[in-house]
Amino acid sequence: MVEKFAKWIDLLAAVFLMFLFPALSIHVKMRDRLFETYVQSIREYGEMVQKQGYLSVEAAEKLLFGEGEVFGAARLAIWEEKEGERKLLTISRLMEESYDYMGAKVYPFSDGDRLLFVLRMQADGLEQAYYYFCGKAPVREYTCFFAVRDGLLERQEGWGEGEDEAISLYDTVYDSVSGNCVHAVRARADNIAQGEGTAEDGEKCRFGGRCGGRIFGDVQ
Amino acid sequence: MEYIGRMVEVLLCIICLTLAPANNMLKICEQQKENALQVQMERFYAEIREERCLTKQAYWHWKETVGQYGANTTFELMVARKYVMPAQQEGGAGYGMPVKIFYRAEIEEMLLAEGMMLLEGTVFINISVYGGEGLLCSCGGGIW
Repeated sequence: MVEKFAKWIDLLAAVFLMFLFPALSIHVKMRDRLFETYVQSIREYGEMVQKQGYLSVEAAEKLLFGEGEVFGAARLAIWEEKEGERKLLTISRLMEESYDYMGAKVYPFSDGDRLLFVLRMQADGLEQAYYYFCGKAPVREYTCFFAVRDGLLERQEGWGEGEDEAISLYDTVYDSVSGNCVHAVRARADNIAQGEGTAEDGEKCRFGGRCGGRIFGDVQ
Repeated sequence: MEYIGRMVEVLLCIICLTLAPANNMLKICEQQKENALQVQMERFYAEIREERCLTKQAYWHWKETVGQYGANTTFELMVARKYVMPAQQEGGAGYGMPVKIFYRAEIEEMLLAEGMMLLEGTVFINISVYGGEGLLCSCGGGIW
């Protein structure tokens, strides 16, 4: 009887050591690698937001609130630090405070706004089993910090003043289809909306053409 | 022999159930500690960039933060500044050198003497943190 019991223990231990434990280890390692790829994506996205000075609402919806679309089991939270106060960016805030910019809804930042991207991935069932005898399974967490360098709010404050204004390196200057200066396109659209111009009026780029885009008056 | 084999088996199971996961947990904790240090470093750089100067308080606060991570953790701070030399300085120290690089020791002396280091003109900063196994993280860039 004891021998039979001992043989069963041997069999269980063999199955555990040769199959279960390696499978669990590989699963945990794969989750580690997956988290690392999420971290890389977050860093790239954060660097882009830092330079652009705004957050696209569509991208934020997918990243922050899309179920399983971008990050699978991980969850991203973006905290905005402004004048010493830290606020969580929620979908309602994004919707309330966003506006149209270059054809997309964006949430603008100011120079010096600080952003904290916090990415968390909870342990799944297999990991919880792996860490069972250690008490609680650890939560993978990564935080990135970015300070906005070229805020959209500051760029917009200077609009309409023109000649001496610095052109942000991150503003698109060409309409890629027509080759027209998008500053002129925008000015014309505003004028038409206000009933002050027609589609044929040549609008000057507020940078006097320094952005490199064609001015309507020069179009052949 | 059978009993020895069984004991080894049980021991291996115990190691796999406890020590291996514990080792993983420790690695995750270490990574999170490094991440926290990286966030602090980026905050320090952002502060310098925003104020365009390095103050004694900010520098010492950063130094203490790094000190909390153990005796093995150290950092290097470099500030590269464009230098314009007057024409009659031929033969003098630094003649013809377009960039002056300040390292940590020099920066500390300057901060002790003057209380702050103004970063005017075109300046590049690099902050690197080193642990027991080498470079942990670094950040920096231009200020203009």
